[in-house]
Amino acid sequence: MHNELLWKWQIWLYLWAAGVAGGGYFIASLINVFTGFTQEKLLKYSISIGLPFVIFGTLMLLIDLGRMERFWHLMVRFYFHSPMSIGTWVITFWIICGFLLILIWLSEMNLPLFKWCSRFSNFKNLIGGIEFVLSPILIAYTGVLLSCTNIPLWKSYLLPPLFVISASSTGLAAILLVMIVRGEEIHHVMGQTSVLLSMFEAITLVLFLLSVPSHIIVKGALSFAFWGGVVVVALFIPLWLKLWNLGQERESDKLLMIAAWWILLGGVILRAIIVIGGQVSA
Amino acid sequence: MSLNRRNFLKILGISSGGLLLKPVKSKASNKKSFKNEIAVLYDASKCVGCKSCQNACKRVNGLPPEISANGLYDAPLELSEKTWSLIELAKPKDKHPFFFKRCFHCTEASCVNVCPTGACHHLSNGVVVIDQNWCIGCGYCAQACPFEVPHLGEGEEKSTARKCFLCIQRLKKGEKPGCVANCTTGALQFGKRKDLITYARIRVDELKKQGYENANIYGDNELGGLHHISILLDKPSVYGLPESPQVATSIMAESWLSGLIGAGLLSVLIMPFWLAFKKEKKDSKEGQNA
Repeated sequence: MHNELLWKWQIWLYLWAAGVAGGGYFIASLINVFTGFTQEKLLKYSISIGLPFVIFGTLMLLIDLGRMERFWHLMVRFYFHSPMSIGTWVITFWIICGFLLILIWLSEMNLPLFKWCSRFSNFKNLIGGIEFVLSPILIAYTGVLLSCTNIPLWKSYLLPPLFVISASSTGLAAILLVMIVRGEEIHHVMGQTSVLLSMFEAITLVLFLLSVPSHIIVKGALSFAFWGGVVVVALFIPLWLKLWNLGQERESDKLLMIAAWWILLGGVILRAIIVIGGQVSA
Repeated sequence: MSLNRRNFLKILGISSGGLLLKPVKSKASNKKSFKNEIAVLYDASKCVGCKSCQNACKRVNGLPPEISANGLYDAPLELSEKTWSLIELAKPKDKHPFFFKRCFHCTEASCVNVCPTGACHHLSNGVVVIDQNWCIGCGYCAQACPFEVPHLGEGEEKSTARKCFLCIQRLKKGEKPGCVANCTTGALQFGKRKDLITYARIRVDELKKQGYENANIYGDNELGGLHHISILLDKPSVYGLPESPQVATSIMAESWLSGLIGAGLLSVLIMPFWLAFKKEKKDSKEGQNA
């Protein structure tokens, strides 16, 4: 029997969670750089959200292994020609840098328990810079992992950029969601950025579907999940909500929050459809 | 050519269009070389489909039988974690319809390339093996193989990847692989790869003279050269084989590049909005100070 659905729900949850983590930090860092390093708050939010996400994703990957107790075999060797090996090391360093950043920020709050962490403070910019470089690699890796197989639906140069843009969109949505829940002021540029990402994602998705045999997704067994889950839930509804919101005199955080939920849900559905569709149609 | 806005957009358009093209085989693949390179040659024109090879594989490697849905022992229809070699019926109308499928032990092996732990590797004679003590059962080799050969194990030794390893335990003792030793018609031969390729070329010429115009060698150049070579009487696709199999990692460099280009484009896209935001903040601060 062929390895049908060899990679199940754990894998698409892993791809999604790693995307939210890496995408969130990537976008937050870009915003911080473009605004002259005035938005450190966004970095703090993105790491606080991203770390639990990426740890959850890694656990999903471990659960999926046939011999989970041997996971450490990934950590003692490095193979430049294996995307999974590269990804393992990128995730490991991403988690380490993320923890260090959190410890530094905690030490800056003068909490007695974390005073000892102030010794890392001199390296804050360096660690933050490494995390910034690792983030786009982490989110591109989720696409490269799939594209380096012999599954026709996955074998496309456009899968990594699709996952990069979708991850950035879901990462920003997660940050927005937590900020709104915590009652933070949301500037309208955040909403504009989210709209841009959704539009860019839609264009990349169309190009990706044109570059692969995507019949099963567009017209086949998964078409309902694709049109309903990805096009409507992940793209159309959030885009419409955000655009409508931007047109209002007073923007509503609630609408932005609903849009963010839809984007996060759509990100999971997109990855599920691609992971399942590729294996079913192979 | 100066990089004005029009030229920049032109380059961007051409680059994006290029990404739509189908992936092509990487020309930069370095051919590996092996010492004492060995191979098995399968001659479809001599095979009668007796399945002695298939049975010997099970016996020699202690592989359990396949059990059908209604609980009966059954002849396997596809490769699996407990069936490492298989006689397939390629085209019932033909005079020689059989094909012997198992791991092709590729020189440019996708499974070896993608394996994150190095469990899947080449031996010095070119044979591809999976170290059962080192495999973590991630399934990447199974997704990457263009022939769908590796399968994850089940049962007590759960979920490591399994496939033919050309009976290395027998080769060490100077014996032939189980399938070759038990072939009843001489359709399977074992020896130095170079010698088998020379023989295969002569045999294909003979077959062409006998009227098999499409006779060909599968494995001479495919994926850097296979170590399970086949003399086919028709095109590879007739036997369910890919005409030009690709290494899974052949598009890896392009995939990384396109992912990072995507990240770069995204940065360029959102930059003006945040620069404007920065300016707006600065202006309002200056206004307050004034």
